Amino acid sequence: MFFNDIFNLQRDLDQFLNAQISPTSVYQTNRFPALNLFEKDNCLILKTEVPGIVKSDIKIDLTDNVLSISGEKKTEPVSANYHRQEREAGPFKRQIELPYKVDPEKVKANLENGVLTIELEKREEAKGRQITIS
Amino acid sequence: MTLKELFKKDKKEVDTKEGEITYACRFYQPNVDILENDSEIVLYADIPGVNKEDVEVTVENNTLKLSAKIDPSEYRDLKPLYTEYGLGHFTREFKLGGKIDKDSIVANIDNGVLSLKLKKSQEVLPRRIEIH
Repeated sequence: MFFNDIFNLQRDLDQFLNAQISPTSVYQTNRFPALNLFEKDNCLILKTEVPGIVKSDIKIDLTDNVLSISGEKKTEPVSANYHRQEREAGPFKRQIELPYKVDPEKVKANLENGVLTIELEKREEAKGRQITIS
Repeated sequence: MTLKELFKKDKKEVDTKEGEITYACRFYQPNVDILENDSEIVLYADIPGVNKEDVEVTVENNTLKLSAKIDPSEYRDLKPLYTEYGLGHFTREFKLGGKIDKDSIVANIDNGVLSLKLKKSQEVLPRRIEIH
């Protein structure tokens, strides 16, 4: 896939920059969960990796063209005897400004295998139209 | 000879109608948590986007190998606008200590998290000695 290279480069660069700015902790809280935004026809498709979070712990809000996703990933009790802890946990909130207005009535969200997919349809007035020369 | 036939000869084209199509995809190391309690070692690995049947857990010569494959086909028609994470399969290997009962490893997948329960072998379990 052609955009694999973009993904790879971006991730590598992000990791490098993040490591420079804030040394990575056990939690690596800098950007959790990470988002990917795609476009298909007149739809925006937002995907985010939220492994281990149940449906009821995720809240999605849409105000104008700002989408916010918040929730909490439950942690094991503190008494647990950890040998290694790399997975992020705890409460999170992310907001993203969408490139155009979307129809709030036509938002679909789906959580499958730890990937949250939100489909947002462009609002009628934001759709482009062709103008014919009279 | 048409141009297409020439290319076909030069490089084997994959017939998209039948047969397996493979995608070039990166492999990532999943993040894991490893916990220990009295009777077992529990491993959690984040493998978002992987279906249950695409997960493989093998134990060979004291090496535990996880391998999980995503299905990139759903991304084929999508145009990326803004990306923060890469897509790829997951693979990671762990060396097992000798004190794990390799025959009774229980694997489970839930919400993109693979959990493995590795039972400690009988001889290392703490036992209480009765005083007569």
